[in-house]
Amino acid sequence: MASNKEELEVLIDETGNITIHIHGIKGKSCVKNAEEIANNVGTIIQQSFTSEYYDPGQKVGITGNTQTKIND
Amino acid sequence: MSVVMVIAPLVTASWPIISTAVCSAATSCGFTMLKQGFDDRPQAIATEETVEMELDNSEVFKESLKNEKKLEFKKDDLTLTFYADEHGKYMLRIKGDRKTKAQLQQIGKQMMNRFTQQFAYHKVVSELKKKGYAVATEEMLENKTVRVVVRRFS
Repeated sequence: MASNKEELEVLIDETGNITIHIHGIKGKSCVKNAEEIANNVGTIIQQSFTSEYYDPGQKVGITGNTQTKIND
Repeated sequence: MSVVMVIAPLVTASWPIISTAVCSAATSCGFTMLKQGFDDRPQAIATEETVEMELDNSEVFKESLKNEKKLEFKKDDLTLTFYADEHGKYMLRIKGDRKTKAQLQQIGKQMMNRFTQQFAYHKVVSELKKKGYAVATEEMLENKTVRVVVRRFS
């Protein structure tokens, strides 16, 4: 039976705000886990579901409350 | 599909955890620790400018208040004192005899941010490890944001 990989990208900006980006969601449990982690660390001030930004040659950069695409 | 969560960290922890993050932040900015111990509330010398700032979203654990504690750091003419006050807040006092009040406030804000970032990093990585995630990559970006990628297999 193949194992399921969960990957989180965490960004901590210079003021200490934390952004958790959960890639490729395959179930609600992954989001629930991230919410539990977030609530143990502080207060969730923004949560959004987005379409997947990834495509070859691009990656997603997130700073504070904004999202920008960064070309490699 | 992906999810983005933005979290404002709450700085609440026991004194040993807080002091580790404070030391890490101060030494990474070139400060040297002078002393640590009880807060004897030293008075500023008349010629020195002094600024006191409260750490946002902070809450002192009750056991930290039994004995007022402080950490003191020095860099050139600047002295930083980090302590827990009687109202249950973490405070930073900055003194310097060759700086204006505005300059001290700016330095204080930078130190508070640096400390909050250090604290948030240690707290979030600790919580992720409790959930079974392992750190895959870790880097400091050009805009001083810390980027950590964690993974787990289920």
